[in-house]
Amino acid sequence: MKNKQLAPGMHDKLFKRAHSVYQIETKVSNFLMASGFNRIDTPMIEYAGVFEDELDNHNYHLFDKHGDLLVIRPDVTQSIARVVATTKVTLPIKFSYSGKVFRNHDELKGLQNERMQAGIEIIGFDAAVAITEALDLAKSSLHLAGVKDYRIELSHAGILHTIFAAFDTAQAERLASRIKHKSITGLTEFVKQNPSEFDAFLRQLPRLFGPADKVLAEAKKLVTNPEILAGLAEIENLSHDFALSTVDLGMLAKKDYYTGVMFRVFSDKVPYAFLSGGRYDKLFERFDAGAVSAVGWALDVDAVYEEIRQDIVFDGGDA
Amino acid sequence: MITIALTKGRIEKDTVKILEQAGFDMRFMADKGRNLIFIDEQQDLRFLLVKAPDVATYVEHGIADLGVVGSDVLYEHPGNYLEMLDLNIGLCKFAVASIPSYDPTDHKRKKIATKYPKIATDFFNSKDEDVEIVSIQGSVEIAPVIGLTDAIVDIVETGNTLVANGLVVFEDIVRVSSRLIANSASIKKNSEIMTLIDRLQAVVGNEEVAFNG
Repeated sequence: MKNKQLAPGMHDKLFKRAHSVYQIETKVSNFLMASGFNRIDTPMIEYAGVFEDELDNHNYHLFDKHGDLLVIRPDVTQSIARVVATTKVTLPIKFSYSGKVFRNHDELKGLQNERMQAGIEIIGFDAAVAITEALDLAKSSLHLAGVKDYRIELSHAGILHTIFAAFDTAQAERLASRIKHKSITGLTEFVKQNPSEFDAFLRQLPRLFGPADKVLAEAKKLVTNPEILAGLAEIENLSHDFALSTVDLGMLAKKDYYTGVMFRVFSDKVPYAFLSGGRYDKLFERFDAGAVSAVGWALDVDAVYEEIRQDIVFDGGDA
Repeated sequence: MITIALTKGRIEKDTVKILEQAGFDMRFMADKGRNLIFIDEQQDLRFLLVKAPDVATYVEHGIADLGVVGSDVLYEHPGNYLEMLDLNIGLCKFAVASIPSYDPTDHKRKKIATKYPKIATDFFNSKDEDVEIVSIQGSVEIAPVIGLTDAIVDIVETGNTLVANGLVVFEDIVRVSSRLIANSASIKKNSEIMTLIDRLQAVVGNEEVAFNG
């Protein structure tokens, strides 16, 4: 039996790291509860169907005694949607949570399989109001956690959904992979083989990121489709409320239940987003409930620690 | 400062050529010796020479902003990076090859030797054919000759190695070329990176050059 080494992707936290991660989690959680959010704590282990439509080999799986497939949660949003869809919880409602989530990453790449998250879900409220509230709370939470320099990046799941709907499944899959990679060559080849009303937009898509006003002005010149223009207008309105925000129109939704505005928060120090979220009305359909207006975000507490660790004074050791 | 990870050898030479055509002064890379890091303060460029699969790792972690690596390597080591440009260098293909008596339509479950288990598995899966993959580190060409496996999946460039070992190509799988990969956060942090990509694109163009071999 192995008993002296950690399982792949796992890390002990001690001293400064343990102390600070706990403090960030608690500060943000207390703030959210004080802001009128109901604390919710869902199980760490659930049936695979809560999280997966097909087997996802980057989740941790195990079997229960009856042979049913279980997953150690990769995310909390899906569990909260299950609660809303399957109980008599009355809408509208606001939930906040914190806890660990798990991803079984490829080994030996220096990745962290266990991460602490804190987050919110605003379910059943007017979507535009909910998005503004979610972003306001995100900013306050980042401020509380001690994050100073960051930028908010906006995108819209509806824009790419509209485009994918114009192609068959196989084409849409190829297109999605090229958009995800911001593949300049790949998208040029795609529009050459599959011409559509979106050609000009798709060719330019790998470059459609950066300051909101500049990118949105350029994008509006490339499309005539009313649904896409509506999505762009929605982002534009938000970018006025949240000054200095950036956009990335080629941002592919991580999950297909995202339906509208999506947002991520970056800094210069951490190479990935430390807060991400958006509007996910369709998630409830997985649990045979109708679409409900829903907005949420999750803060990656471990990533926040990486961002601010140099600013934290702690004399009990660093690990 | 823009950091670019490259693989030593052919890819590095071809990439340096493209950078020169794009107007960069690449003389600082001419005298390599045993150095693995090259810095040009004036142009704000830094090059790292690393093993092919590590190019993706360095870019994924944001240690390198950009990397140049073959699509064969990317296919076997998928990760969290952007694959932005096809540089149309290092052109070759993945193919199924074997001794002339090999019959692709044979009913039996075939054994396939390869250094690229993922592409081999996916190719036969896409044909709804189940095969047994035997992972080999090198000299794959001898596997069908000495009877270890029925055929191989390997990279074919000139085909000379195959011919020398008495093998012929039975099926082409996919074109392989070197790609410019990028860290998704880097391109947003440093606008100089997109400028560099624009300059490279002006040289290599928008199109996938076909491999005719």
